[in-house]
Amino acid sequence: MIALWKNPELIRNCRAQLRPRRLVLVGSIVAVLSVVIGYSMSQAQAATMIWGDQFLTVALYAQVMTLFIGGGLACGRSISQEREQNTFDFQRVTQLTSLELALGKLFGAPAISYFATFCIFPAALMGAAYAHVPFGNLLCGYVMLFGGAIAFHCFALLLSMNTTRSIGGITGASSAVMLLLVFLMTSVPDATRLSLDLGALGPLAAIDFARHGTWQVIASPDHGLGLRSGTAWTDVFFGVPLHHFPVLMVLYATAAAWCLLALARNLKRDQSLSELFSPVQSVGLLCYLNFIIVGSYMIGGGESFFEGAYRSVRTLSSAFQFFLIVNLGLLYMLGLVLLRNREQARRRAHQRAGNGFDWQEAAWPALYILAGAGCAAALALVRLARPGGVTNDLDAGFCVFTCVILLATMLRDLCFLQWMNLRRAKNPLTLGVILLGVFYTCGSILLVMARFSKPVQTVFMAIIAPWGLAGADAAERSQWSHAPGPWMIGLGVQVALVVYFAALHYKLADELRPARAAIPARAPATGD
Amino acid sequence: MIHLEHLTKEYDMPGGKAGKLVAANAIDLVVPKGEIFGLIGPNGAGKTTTLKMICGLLAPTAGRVTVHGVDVERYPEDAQRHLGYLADFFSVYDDLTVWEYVDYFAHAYKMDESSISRRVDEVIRLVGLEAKYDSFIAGLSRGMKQRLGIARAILHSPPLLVLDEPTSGLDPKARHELKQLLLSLNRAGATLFITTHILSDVEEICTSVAILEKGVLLRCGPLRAVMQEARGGRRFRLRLAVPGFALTQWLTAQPGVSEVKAGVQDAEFLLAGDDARTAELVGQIVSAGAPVCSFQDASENLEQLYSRLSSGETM
Repeated sequence: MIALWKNPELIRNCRAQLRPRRLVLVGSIVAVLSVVIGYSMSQAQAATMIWGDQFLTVALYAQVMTLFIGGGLACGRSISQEREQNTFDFQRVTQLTSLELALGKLFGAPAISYFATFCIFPAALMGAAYAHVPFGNLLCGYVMLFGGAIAFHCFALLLSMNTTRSIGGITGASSAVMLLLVFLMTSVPDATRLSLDLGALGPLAAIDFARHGTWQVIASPDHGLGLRSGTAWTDVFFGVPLHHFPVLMVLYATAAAWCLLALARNLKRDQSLSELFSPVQSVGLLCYLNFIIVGSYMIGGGESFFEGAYRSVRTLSSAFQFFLIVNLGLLYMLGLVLLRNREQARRRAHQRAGNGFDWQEAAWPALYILAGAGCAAALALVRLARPGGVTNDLDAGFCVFTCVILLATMLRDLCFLQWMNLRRAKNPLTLGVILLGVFYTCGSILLVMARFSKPVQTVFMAIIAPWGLAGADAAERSQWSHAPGPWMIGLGVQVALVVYFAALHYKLADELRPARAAIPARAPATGD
Repeated sequence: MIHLEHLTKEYDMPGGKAGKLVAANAIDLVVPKGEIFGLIGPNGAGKTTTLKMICGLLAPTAGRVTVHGVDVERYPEDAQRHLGYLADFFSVYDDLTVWEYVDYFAHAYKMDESSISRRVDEVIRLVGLEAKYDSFIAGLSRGMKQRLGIARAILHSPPLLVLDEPTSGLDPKARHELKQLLLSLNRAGATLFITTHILSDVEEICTSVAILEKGVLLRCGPLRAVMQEARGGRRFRLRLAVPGFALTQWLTAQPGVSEVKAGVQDAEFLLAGDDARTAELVGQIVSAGAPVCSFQDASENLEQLYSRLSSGETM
């Protein structure tokens, strides 16, 4: 592994971007703007502490924008642009490993953004000095800022790697910027509690901490991860209060590590065979996300953003519903990541030529979805085993049935999408997602318009979209207990549909196998 | 040096049509060390696909490629250590200088740090770009950029050079210089694997050749053997000073002579056998009293052979 400062890709980017004339230009612009803004602020506000704080805030915001938008754009284009220029293949045949190449691009592509950020430092330091901001706070704020930027740049790089050549660098970059905007918007203080929950994870948390951060950890906080109360910076993980700074740094580091893992797996690979994570790694990522969510989830005294509004989590059924909804989303993403394209299926077909029926191949990626669901359920059960003064209103039978039917519905959708993804079309997966959307929309309209009698309506709902079960209230749960028959019919149909789509997928995959008798070459095949 | 085993690459037919496009159809091929191997074929024959699979840039649908005994798909970086690659349509980093560009790749190939500076200078001199040492690449001509590409490919002294259309788009002088450079690299021990449309280049510098069409190898082997095998002998044209000798009758009676097309004073025929047999036939016809004033080799060149063998169909 080459040391980062000797990384040729980093050096190339620095050489290309940090030419003396450009450095002088950027430095001059930043210096002029700093002087003008600082002077106007000092004139408008007599109290040095107040204008110092304002000046610091402006400088920090400028650094956030430069690093996140400028750097994000640079990383978001770095790989896709090289593909378009036909220079990427030459990097792929060098001795640089995927990780070395990724690290070189990660720190090299935004070189000019880093330089501009450093140019703003004097202004920020001056503001901090006038505002009497403790040096430790400022330092930690910057550590948070750079940590967040690196994690975000990793994500932008990942987007760039997965951007198809025909679309160009625009998609990767615009996606990165869009994500940043969401990130920034949700970071705005005084927004909803949901926004605040995410806000502590966004880049603006660094600004808040630099200006008003404290090192005090509240012994009995009344909030979960990311929900700040007042000036306290305390998170709770598995019941243990922790300062937000180390938690945030660990989250940034792990997020960057997952992105780098995907980059190291795929960067130098043939793009048509790109596979973000191996199946086992995908399940690992699901477990990691569950670990964070389960660990920071508060039962008994906190608040949840479940059902679109905040309410106290006082019952086990609420906690169950929360974990269920979160995991349905995560498992769906896991399934989408694992779907095979035609090229991957063709290679598998050639490798398996002559072999008999394989149910794992047919039902791909069902096995890993089930494994992921098992791991997520185990993690949730560990957490729910220590409820701490919460009313146990769980109906075990209902919970198990809900999990089974929703899992079957998800597998139905994923097997359908896997079948669609092997069809001969320009964007088969997109077409599959659109068809699925049409199916859900039409089914829901029919359900509302048709005015079926109760058992028929239940069967219909259980077949089309049983997702409503995840948010079922007490009345619906008791209804299920009294008449499970229609739901069982629905479950049976879901399983049958899984088998049907798996069979369609297998048939299509089978067509990609090589012909029974290979065509012999017409020439002697040697250059001797 | 290169070993292709049952190498297959399949794609979907473009435009959503039924069937599959086989860019490489179970190709088995061995390229020994020290060869200059030319892979020829029409556009869309699968040349670049095959070449990219050799370099580990494309994964084959089935089959195996080994370079210098290393499995390219399993150990791409180990295999790539032994090869230098030049693409047919390539671009370079316009915002770097010539020296910076070559230096970047020297480090990226993880060459010995102490030898990099000397090797960078040496390679820039070798491709004749020493006058442009500190110039930005953006200002170079296409020919110069091609030479820079060659510099990058040979920088780490790989035993195998894989070049896709190296002479295309160059003016005659640049083409000649590039061919001389390739020959000198071969003399220095490098194996060259070249794809090209310019068949005269292949005839001029290649020692072995393969003809690829629709992913299938039509012919493969040493250049002379391929040409001789394809035409079943050498074609000669003979001319008499004065008419009167029964050319058709005499020639058809000779062993190894076929496809005789004779006029009153001249004839064209195919002769199986080597140079000794040719000399023997010339001696015999003169001894028989034929007033021979001209005897010349009228064998078809690679271009004619290629036209005859290839249907010119593309995928």
